[in-house]
Amino acid sequence: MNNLPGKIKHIKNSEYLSEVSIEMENNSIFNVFLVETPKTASYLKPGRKINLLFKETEVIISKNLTPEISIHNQLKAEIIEIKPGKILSEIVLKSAVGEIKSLLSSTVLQQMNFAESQEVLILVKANEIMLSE
Amino acid sequence: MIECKLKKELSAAEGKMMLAVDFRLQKGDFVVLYGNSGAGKTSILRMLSGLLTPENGFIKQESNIWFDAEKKIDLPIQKREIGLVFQDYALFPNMSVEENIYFSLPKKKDKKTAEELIELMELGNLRKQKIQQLSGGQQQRVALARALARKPKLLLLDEPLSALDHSMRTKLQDYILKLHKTYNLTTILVSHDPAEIIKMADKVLVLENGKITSTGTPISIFSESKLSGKFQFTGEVLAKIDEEVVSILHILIGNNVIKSVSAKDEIAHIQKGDKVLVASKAFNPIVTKIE
Repeated sequence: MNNLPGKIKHIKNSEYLSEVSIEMENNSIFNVFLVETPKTASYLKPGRKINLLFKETEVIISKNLTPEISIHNQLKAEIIEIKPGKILSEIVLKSAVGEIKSLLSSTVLQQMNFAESQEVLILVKANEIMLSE
Repeated sequence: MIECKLKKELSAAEGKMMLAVDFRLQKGDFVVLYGNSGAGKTSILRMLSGLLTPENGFIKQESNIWFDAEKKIDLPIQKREIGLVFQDYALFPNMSVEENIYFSLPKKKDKKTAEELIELMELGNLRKQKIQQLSGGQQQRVALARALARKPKLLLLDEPLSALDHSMRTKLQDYILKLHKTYNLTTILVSHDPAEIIKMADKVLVLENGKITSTGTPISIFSESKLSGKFQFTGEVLAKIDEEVVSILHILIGNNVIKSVSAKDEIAHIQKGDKVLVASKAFNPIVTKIE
């Protein structure tokens, strides 16, 4: 599981859902959807330190650094290691907010010609990130 | 079943504190006392074992009364059927492993129990060694065997693993669980480590300033409010299969076996038999109606 530290900046909520904006260490913003509101979860407070958790399988990698795409959370990173497997492969990336791992299809890995030290864009959907105190 | 109601004024670091607790444990329960230093955890263990006398209340084990303030009953430690293990092992340093265990037998001829414990704790190869030649983890295994030599009904563990390194802790946790299950003990553990508590306990009593402020399963105490994932279950790992960069866990949740794929390094420390928390976001599951 990827685990990145951040600080809650802003919470936008309806009756049951929230969109939480989290400021990361490099001042970039990550957005997370929750089925919680500040009323139901005491940790939903601006300024609160929080960890973002998301699975390696939910990390999308783009070679295009400015894609027009509906995924909110985007972060530049450098590939530091590629571990190829038969079906799934792992890519270890270094970003300004910490190390991030991605699990992806080995077929896609070959097609995309990823290489170590290449600069890429990491994308994570807001509904795939969990928060942990 | 252990039933107790304890009341006593204690002097804590910040002045006087009234300890007042009331709880009931079933046979076979594995309970953790959790709370800050000075909350009264060790005092509760000391009262249960007879090392500290409550001002008020009672302690009952099934129909046996160990303590009753009104009836002026206060059984000494050796008459309460308890096993005690502390962080410092309190073994006889000049005696060998087996001498330490045999010394605690209620009857010298009860060799069978001692031998069974030596085998369970895998102390066979060390039995002739002097305590001072053993590592911390080995000494704690001897202390556990010794605590059980008297066939206690209640096992009291006061942070027994806190002086050990991580891998030794994990091994000792398995030994403690093995003893707990083999002898169908009621066990009370004082621990500060949520991972340890989730792995070992059925129930947690949270203690603050001498009062129990919440009780529940380890997951309800440690996870629900701390992890935003709405899909949370606890289960037991039935199997772990490594496949290149990932590992597949087969986890028993209730009566269902689920499978989960994780990056291999991330779950390198999870093994068959471990209790685990399985969490996912409320957005992921697909729900269909069963006809």
